[in-house]
Amino acid sequence: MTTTLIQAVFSGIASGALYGLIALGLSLQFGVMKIINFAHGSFLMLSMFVALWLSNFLDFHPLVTIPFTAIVLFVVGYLTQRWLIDPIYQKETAREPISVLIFTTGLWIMLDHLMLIAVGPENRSVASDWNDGLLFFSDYLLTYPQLAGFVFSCLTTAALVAFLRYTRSGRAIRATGQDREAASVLGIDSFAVYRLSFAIGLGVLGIAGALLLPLYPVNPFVGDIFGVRAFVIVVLGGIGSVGSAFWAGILVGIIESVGGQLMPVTYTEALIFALFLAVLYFRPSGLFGVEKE
Amino acid sequence: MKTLKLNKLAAGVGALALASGAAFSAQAADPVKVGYLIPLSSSAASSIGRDMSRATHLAVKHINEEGGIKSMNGAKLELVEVDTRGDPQVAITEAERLISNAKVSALIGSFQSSVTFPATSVAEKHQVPWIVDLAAKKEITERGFKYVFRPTQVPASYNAQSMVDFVKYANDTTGKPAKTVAMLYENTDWGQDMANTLREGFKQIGMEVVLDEAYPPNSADLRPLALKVKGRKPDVVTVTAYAADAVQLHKLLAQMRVGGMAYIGSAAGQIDSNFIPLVGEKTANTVFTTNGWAGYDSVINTPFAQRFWDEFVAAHKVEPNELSVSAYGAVWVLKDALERAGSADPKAIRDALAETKMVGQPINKLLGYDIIIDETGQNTEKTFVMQQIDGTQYRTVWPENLAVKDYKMAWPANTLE
Repeated sequence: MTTTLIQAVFSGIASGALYGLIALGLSLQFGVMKIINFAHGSFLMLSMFVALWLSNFLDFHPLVTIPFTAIVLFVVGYLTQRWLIDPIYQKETAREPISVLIFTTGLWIMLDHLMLIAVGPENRSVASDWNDGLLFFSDYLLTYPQLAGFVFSCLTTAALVAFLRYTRSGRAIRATGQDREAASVLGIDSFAVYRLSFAIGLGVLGIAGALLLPLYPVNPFVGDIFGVRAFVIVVLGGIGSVGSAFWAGILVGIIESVGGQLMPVTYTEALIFALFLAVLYFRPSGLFGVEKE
Repeated sequence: MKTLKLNKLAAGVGALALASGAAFSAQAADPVKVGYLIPLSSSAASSIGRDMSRATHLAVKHINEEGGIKSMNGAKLELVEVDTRGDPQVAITEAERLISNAKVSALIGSFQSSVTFPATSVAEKHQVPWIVDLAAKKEITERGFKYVFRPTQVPASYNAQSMVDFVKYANDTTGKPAKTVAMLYENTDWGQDMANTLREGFKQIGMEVVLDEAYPPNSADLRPLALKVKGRKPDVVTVTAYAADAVQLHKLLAQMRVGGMAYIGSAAGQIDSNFIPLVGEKTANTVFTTNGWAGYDSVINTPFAQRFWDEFVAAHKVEPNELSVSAYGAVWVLKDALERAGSADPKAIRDALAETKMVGQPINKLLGYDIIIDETGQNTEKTFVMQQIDGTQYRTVWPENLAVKDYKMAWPANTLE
């Protein structure tokens, strides 16, 4: 049983890191623009399809697709923010933009169904020997996709945190997130910041999609499950700190994996949501978040 | 004054339309409208739903090509198709709409037990007959309903019992008996139904059930479940799952080196046309599965069957399986009833369906069984075989009288250690 539990912890950390990466972009978008992007899962689905087509038609190795999906999603993010979300956002006078929230919900449904019309409901994945490769260490094993998911999630998170902390644009983003009016008084163009952060958020999601495809078959509705997960993780981790989404992701991964060994797997999802509700009740700023003054 | 004039005009136009309509119907027979509910999206079952829909449309095409319903002046069948999205609520609403607005004479559908069970109540309430295509929950025909018929499927217990009987057969005849079993099944009506029979059955043949677990369909990650199975070290694992989950589970069981002697499926995800391509041949060769249809070698030997097979493959580039064949058959059962009823009146169709006795007809040869509807609306003639996936082929290995002659069953089935 202990072997199983320790294996479960390893698997949980690996999948959790990837969940965290999926939530990372959402956390950035919510932290800076205070918008909840319900189409997040759909964009993930999109990046998985891009990775799928690159692998199937151009024979790219799963890892090679990463920079491409990142760039494609970055561009999609920039255009979405510039042409779709910005105009709605600008008309909002309240601090929390409800109409953007409603808009992204509609976008979610539309993207899912456009894809359904385009490619059909079947599940697709890439047949690749690399996907089945195993790394054995003592009694435990991790598949190459799990390992890659973990490594690249850590690297991307570290890179994003460093970007936000040490570069000028990064600081501009954080400043706008903290106080939009004060930041614009200081000469920071908030709408340029929004475009950049939405684009970066989706770019990071693109990386996650490329890493997820070897682990999970894609169909037009695959984003639904992960979108909800990402939302839960962002709130669990806390608004205000992008890195906290990453740690919350790992926590969720471990609960799911280890929990599954100790109780029927149907309950682990409920357990995660129970934790989510408890955190909302007792510590609304999240487990690792920055307390609001 | 203005409204009065308009009313007169409307009445005049209406009368004209009615007259011309009557004149028309005297010449050509109105099509018989048939409602069809099937999952086509957002569900683990939608790839199967699509396959079934294709077969249903093909049946309608063939029936219409052959001259429609002869006892009704060659009336053609007109399918009114609705995507249930695997959602019982959608199915209930749509069934109501099809009956009240579209005025269908009968309904066919809708594959999933969790959807079919509530939706058929709607048909019963409105007294419109419903032909269940493939849902296996036994209570569907055990409610004392008069308008629900199930000609091409038997309750899940038949399927599950076949799985148990096969394991007993393997234990008794191969000299390598399995002692322990892990049961994995989806947490739905169908999965739970199957599990109830499996649990009882395995106990009766003296096997120890080391894991008995329902998983939520369409989960993000079934890895923890696969890991749990590995920890219990079962000899045999039964996997009662639809396409997406079956693919994930079998891949994980192989990947995590769960071992054991065989992974046995329940004629759902494992016989889906996408299964072998998605899991890969190596993993597929660890799989046995029941099947409600014996397959090409056994039944595609009449012009009727050949037409179905050839046209299906030509149009859709995949081969038919039990699911598409059953969908095809359901429409022919309706056709048979319509011929005897001679009318599109739901009650008349219902009475004809209740007396269905199709024996030795081309469709029976294609399906592999007779169709005799009993007093509960159920056909009890369907049986399940067990097949092993060898290479990219499904080989029937049990019962012995239907087993493919030139194939020797591999037991254990090369599960990766």
